[in-house]
Amino acid sequence: MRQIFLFVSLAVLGFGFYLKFFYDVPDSQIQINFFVSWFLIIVGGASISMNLFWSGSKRKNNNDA
Amino acid sequence: MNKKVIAIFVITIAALAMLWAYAFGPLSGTITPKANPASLQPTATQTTVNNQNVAFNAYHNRDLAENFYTIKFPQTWQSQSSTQVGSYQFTFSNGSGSAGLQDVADNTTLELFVLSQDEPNFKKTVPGYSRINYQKISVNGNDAYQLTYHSTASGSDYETVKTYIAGVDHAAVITLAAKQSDFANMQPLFTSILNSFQWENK
Repeated sequence: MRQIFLFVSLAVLGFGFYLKFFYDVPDSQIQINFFVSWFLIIVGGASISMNLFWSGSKRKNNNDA
Repeated sequence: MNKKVIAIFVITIAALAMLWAYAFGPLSGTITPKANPASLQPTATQTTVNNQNVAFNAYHNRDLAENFYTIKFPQTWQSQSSTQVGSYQFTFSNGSGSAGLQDVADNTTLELFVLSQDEPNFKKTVPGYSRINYQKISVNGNDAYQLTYHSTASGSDYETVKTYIAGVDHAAVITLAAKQSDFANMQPLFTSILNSFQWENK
């Protein structure tokens, strides 16, 4: 389950970077592209961080036990 | 719950709030490109048109990073304020001239854009539109597509030459219009303006 969550988070982050740096944005859609690409980058990055920290805390608890 | 996870969650919410402010809120003015003041300061030059020296202003447009360009317009033409980034507009007795940048999507070509989007749009919006000529030309080594058409305004007949010059991201569009009775006389000057166009970072 954790691997699936991590994979989806990486996909979201990657798609955000694609929209930010490689997608040809029409002049009329600069604002929406700015919002969507950064939204995906932030959410993707935060999801990966939370996933890693969460599993780290579980490992620590297991070791303590 | 892990304190670090909660901290990341809170920081993420704060970052998303800041993102909204930059994209659509009070700080949104920083995203959209703005005209560079340097683009509006011309340098004076002289060019020979029909064996006569004509005073021109050379404009060096620095608005969009991938599409810096230079173009010359006669000093006698009156500059009109333009709100569009990368564009200039002028009027003179019996006509007008303009230069600007046109975004062309990656999934089309400039020629396809001209024939399938811009020209059909003119047919709907320009009074008395009728095509006189369409041709592929070269402007200082750049592929270009030139549309010449007839239109009417305020009871007068006009002829307009619209030239689309291929560029890296955007295309340049130079529009030169004159009353039909004056068009032949203006042709050498129009050709001189068109040939003065150059991409600066190609």
